[in-house]
Amino acid sequence: MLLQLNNLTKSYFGVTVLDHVNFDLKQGEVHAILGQNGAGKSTLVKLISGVEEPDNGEIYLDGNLVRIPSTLEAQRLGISTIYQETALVPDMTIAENIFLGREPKLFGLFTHYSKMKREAKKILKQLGYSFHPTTPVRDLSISEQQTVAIAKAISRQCRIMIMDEPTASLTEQECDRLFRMIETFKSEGVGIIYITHRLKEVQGICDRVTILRDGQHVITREAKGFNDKEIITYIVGKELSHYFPPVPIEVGEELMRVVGLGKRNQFTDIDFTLHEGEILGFAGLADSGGSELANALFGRVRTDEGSIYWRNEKVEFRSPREAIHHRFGLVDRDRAKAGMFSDMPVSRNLTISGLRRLNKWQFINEQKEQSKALDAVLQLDIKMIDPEQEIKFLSGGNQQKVMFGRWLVADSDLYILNEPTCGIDIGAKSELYVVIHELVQEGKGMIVISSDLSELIGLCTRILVMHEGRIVDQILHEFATEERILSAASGLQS
Amino acid sequence: MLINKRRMQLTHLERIHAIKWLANYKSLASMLIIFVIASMTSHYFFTWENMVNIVRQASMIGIIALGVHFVVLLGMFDLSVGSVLVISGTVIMASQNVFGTDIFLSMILGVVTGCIIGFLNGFIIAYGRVPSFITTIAAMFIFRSLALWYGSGGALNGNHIRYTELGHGSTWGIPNLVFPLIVVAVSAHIILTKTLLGRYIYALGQNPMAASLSGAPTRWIVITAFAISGTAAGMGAVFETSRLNSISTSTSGIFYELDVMSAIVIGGSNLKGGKGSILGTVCGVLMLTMISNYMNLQNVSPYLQGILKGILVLVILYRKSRKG
Repeated sequence: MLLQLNNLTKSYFGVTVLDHVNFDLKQGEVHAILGQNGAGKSTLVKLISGVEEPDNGEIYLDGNLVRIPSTLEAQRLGISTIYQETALVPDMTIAENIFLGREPKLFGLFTHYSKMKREAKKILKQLGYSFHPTTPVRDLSISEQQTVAIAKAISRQCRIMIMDEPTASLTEQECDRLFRMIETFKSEGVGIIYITHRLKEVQGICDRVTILRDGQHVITREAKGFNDKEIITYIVGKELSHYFPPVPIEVGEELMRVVGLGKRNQFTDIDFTLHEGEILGFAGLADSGGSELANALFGRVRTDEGSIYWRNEKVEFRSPREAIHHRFGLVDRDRAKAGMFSDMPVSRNLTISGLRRLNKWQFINEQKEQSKALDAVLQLDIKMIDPEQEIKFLSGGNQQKVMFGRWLVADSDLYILNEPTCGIDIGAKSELYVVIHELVQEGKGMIVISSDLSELIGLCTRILVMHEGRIVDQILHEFATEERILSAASGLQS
Repeated sequence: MLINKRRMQLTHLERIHAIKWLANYKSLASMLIIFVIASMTSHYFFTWENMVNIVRQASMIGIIALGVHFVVLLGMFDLSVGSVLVISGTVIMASQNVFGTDIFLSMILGVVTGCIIGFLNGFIIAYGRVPSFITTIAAMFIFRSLALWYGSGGALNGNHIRYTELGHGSTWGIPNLVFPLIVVAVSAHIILTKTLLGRYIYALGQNPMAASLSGAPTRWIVITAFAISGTAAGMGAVFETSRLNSISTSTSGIFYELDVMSAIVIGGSNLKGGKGSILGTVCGVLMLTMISNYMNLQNVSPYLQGILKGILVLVILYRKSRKG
């Protein structure tokens, strides 16, 4: 047995997040850990990777009792972690990031740049990528950054690799490439702990599955023959009858019309209309222009050409603030960087965009603020101990609910959702879908940009498929299939 | 709401609140510790005269620190406050002497000068996207140089004798300068905790991108914070000139920006922005003043006092970096 965890227990502020959990990992196996947000997956990862130490329990590596008090010690023991949000230095080059802290030396003194570049190139090639190793990480997309993080882990010659939702922001093709990489590691005897929310991957690449719920170990068994429905039942603890709410078919008046919108190198000739009570989906591979379009609609970047009509009135936003005044709301794909104020209480995170209507002569009406925040908490069923609790202590799914709730408080009419369920669990996902459904029934408009095809198909009235910055296909809900979206998104004529 | 809160008062929560409470008042606690130690080891320290003395000494750095506090909350710097003080002081003295304006009008002119310079700093930072560190260093050079040129490097004296009553006099045994200081501190506290501007300042300091995407008027916030900082430095100029009825273009305000920054850091603000309270900054200023006052009483050479200040700042930043 490569790694064995016995009775690991961890609590924060008296709340037990991991309760006598057992886990083991063999050489050359991919062991999936599944569970809802807050089930204890991240905490388990933290304990193995040396970010935190358990309150109780033992960790055995090759049968020897070990302590992992720091990430440095974890690295020394051959444990590498690839996080959801990659920990790279944006201003350094790919090669520098891969070898950060372990740069090859020339005469034991100077950094051996040419060797470093060569090695980096070799590793990237092994992964099937052809980046130039001197490209700054800042210029890479999220998925490319993830590849660099994986390259970093490989270069360390690790024996245990922990992957925390590696596919959350990857396209199908990139996922395939990652899976091939994983096969290679397996054959080299590396043990992989694989955390994911995508059940499809479990059968595809995992050997065994462990499911956690509320900090407790539920089941460990072979992945073979473990079907999705069973897995969901174990994860949630009850059977999920509804995954997606019914798709809205009846739509109201026109809310928004976009005509010939374009921005150089990002998207061109974007035409679409959005009606009250409609969920409009945007599908596309990474860098197909969906995120950029979302940013442009929200006034985050200026467009070069075309126009946007909001309730038949031409609008041009110079800043998100103006868009918000017109009752637009954007949930960004990266909530840590572009959404949360992590040291602020949940309530203030909820009300920040709605303060315009919660003040009198610039003084915040705190009573009104509190009650608005509490309304949102109840409507979204955000799980926390106290609205004054800082948002950083919430689980990912609940943080995402707060990002949604911000626009409930601001009373938005248009919700632009960029990867709204990126990296949150099934339970929270279906809850968010219900919220989206409720809002749409009130006559709000929704624009959903997502790389999760089943989500788009299950949710949207209409799906627009983008490829290289253009809308190449429009699919009504009843005709939407993964095949049709995929072929359009990859540029094949439909 | 109330029912909700009640229900949540479980034992472990009370512990969280207790920890939070202590964290909030850490600077107050450290100040009290220093105060008690100093009072016990020096007979003269805890006397009315000395207390008045400390408060008088603290008022100058204090008023400026209250303004710079806004800038630090944004995660930025204002290194121009010393020079703003000297140019505002020059305006106050010159407007009196040359134009013969009323002393109150001169004081207002001085404060307005500070406000305008702060506004310009903020404007350049917000719209020109020049880092605050660079912008305010440039302002520091420019306005110091302007003051030196006008005063030929020497002092400018006022002719209004009653002016010094403001800086030297007392009301009910309390130095006059303490009253405006308290008013400014209380207003700053209210602005930061009760108003939109305050909320936005904390938000912008914690996560600029998220603040902009949540509809905070980011440029306006930056400009306002710097204007507040400049205004406070202008008020500092009133304090300085009213004490001596003169301003020295070469020595007034020298190193104030650094004293102010040290006080704010000691008061528990985070230099990366988003964290810090007015109470903390006030305690930071009082702590620094008490320490140097205590050392004077113990006959430590004033030339050595910089060492202690330096060590204090280092210790605090070291502890912070360990925590982070």
